[in-house]
Amino acid sequence: MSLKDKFQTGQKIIWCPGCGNTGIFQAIQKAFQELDLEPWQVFVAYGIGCHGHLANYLKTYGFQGIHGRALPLATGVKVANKNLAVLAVAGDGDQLGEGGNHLIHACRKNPDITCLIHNNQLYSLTVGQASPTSEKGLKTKTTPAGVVDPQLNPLALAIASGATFVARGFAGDIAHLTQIITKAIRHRGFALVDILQPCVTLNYLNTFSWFKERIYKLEETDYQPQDKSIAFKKALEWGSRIPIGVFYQEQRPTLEDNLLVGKKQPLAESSLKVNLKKLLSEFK
Amino acid sequence: MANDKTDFTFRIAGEAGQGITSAGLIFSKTAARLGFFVFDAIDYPSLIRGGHNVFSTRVSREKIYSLGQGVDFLVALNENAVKVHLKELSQGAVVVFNSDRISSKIVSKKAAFFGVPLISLAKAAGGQEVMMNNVALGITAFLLKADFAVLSSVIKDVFSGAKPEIIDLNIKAAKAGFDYAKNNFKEAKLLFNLSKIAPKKAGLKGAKLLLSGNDAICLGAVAAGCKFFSAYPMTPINSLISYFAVKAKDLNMVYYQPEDEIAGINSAIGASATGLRSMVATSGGGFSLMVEAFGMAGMVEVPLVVVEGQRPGPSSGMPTLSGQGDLGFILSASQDDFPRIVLAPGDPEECFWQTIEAFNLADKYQCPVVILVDKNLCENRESVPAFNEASVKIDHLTMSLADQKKDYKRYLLTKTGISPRPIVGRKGNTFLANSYEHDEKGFFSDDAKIRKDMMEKRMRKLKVLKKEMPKPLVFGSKETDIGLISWGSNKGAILQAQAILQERGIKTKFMHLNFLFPFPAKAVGEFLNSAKNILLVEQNISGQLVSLIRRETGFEIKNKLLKYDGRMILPEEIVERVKIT
Repeated sequence: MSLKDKFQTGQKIIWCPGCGNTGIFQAIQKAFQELDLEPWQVFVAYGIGCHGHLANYLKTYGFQGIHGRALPLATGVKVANKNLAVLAVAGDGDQLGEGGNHLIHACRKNPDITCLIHNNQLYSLTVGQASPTSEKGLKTKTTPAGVVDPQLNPLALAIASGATFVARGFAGDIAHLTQIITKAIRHRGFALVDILQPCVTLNYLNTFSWFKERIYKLEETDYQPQDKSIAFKKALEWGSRIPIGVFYQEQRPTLEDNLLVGKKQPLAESSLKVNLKKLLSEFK
Repeated sequence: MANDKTDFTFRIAGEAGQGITSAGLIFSKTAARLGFFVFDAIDYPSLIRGGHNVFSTRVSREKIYSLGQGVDFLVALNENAVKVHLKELSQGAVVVFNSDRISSKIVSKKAAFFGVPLISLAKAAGGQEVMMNNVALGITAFLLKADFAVLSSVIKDVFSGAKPEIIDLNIKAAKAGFDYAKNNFKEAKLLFNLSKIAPKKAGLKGAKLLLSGNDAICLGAVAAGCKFFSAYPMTPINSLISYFAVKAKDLNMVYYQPEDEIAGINSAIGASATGLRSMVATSGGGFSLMVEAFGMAGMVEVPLVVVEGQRPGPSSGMPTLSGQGDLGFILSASQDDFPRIVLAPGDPEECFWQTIEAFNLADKYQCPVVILVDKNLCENRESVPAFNEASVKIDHLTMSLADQKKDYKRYLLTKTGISPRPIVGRKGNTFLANSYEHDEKGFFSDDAKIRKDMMEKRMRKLKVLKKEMPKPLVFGSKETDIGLISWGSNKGAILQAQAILQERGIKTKFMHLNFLFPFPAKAVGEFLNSAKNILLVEQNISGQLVSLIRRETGFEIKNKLLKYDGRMILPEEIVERVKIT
């Protein structure tokens, strides 16, 4: 079966022509194929933003939630049915602005969820306000004189917060992004993938060509992603050269390991019967 | 005359950290096991240590629905406790005071005072200072002629999580108190006692349970097959968290502690979206944070049970006191119209059954269901008849997507508005749950016709429910012009007031609304028409039920008893108002 038949709903795509989201859409499908996943084995929770349109195009179990809340939604899904491959698809304003607290705690708690941040460095669905990752100096509708606050660095934040898999991909390099997403899903634990996704309509600064001039792949260097302090330092690199690839990876028990000790069956499939008599007797 | 009082109030008071709550629980359970009806309440300031704490237990040979007035048996662990409660002592009251901390100067003719060196006795029994509460319970047991073996079995059960040596020390402390009283207070004569009532004479058939509203909600959720409970700590729902945190593993379910209430409700919705039963609990402030996702549950048509334990607001308000100021908020929370169900149990027994009902309704109508309770109901305990397990019915979805046709539609337009819902993760078709307006398959749509169809489909569910929902309960006499109407936890005080009025020859009827939305307009209208003198009772300043009744029936209720000082409504306050009316 072709990727299109297997993982696409056939709904009309309304992203702008050339939008970075299209590349991410391709990479996700290819990663599913690489991992031999069927649509019914995958659950994707979406936030609200341009990224969220993907809910209509990608054929898996999907849940388009509310702005910033894809991660807690996905966490509930994963705990309820640990057999599902669970993804949280989010945007930069969505996950790093509105949903920042959830990101910090997902990193700590380590649910086996892959979080993809479609990072276009803007609020694009609302046509161009500054987001937490907007480049300093960028003129937007909310910052007519240019952004003054420093950029939020999702990778450094994730590493500092205890994430067990931290990577960056580029929507303009589908083959590399496919490999990153594949590794992220395969990773047992919380995986954060920051995806550089130029907004071709509103972001005049961070364009595809701007990134192409700067990007290099960590896999093509002698970089090793096991040391936290080295990874943190690497995550801060941004400017004339921008690294993509896996920055950090470690193994730690997951949230479900801790919550569902000794349970083989998914909670959603387990029996509803309880020994009420015994429980009631404790209140005599 | 000895032993002529069949209904009395025990109170233990002191500083937070002196074991007031556990002593109160042990006393209540002991009285219950001896065959008495019990109603208890704790009153504490929002301080971890040091504030004045009070635990009261009313004990009776007849069924009781609320605390009584006055104190018959006071255990004072510090001097402040005597000072604060002296004026509340009834005729023939007894005061057991901690003579290690309180000078005998406090002794007066207001009551029979018994000074006991509680701390010295606790230490002499090998225990620590904090075990003075058990020494006091031993003294109490002797003075009230309670069987010591029952007291010691209760202590054993209450401390069942502790090490055997600790349990032993607590029992030894109680025994030290009991023996001290035996040696020193043999001549004491009280107007009331805790002599065991023969099981046959105990008013309720079968074994009684001693439950708080929170306890009953926990048991109801377990009985209903709740698998995922998510709650951020907040008074007054913390005991739900403690219960499930300890029990979850054995019950084959999960308690999840979220980073905030927003994560709490979103994770519960995510879990529910897979097909299992989930619940969140919070108070008004936490629910404020949940509001956006509450609306999402309505839009996405995901079942969800929300426990909202009210306390007085606005904002941080009075965290450890009680009120009913969130009704209007719950009825309108979140943008635009979507189906919601609001239940307001009146006592622990209703908490149990209505929690099960909440899960069944949420599953059937695929919408959020709120169990609206308050601090008093959450934390006060009372004697409840044993539940008949055979009456527990669970209507849970069983459909699997694998059984579905190829063009499965998650939001299929149906006559009832209810669409087939699957267990997620079984082999078969997938679907999109969507918080945006969507077509039958869940895909985003802002088409005018689809929008209209979908709004009507969702709201249609309430019309179906309106036909199926239970009628409000009416208590009391039919032949009377005096009608009381109220909701939620006022039930007990009103029933008690009705009994007092009945004794004085005043007949009343009382409509108790424990199903607030959809609103039972027809039944309420008929009730209001059937009595000339209507008194509405609720615990908020604006009369939020008054507004709801006006909106749903057109009736304007003028005579209102509105209490909003954070304190429990008392039967006597209602009696007074009815007499004035």
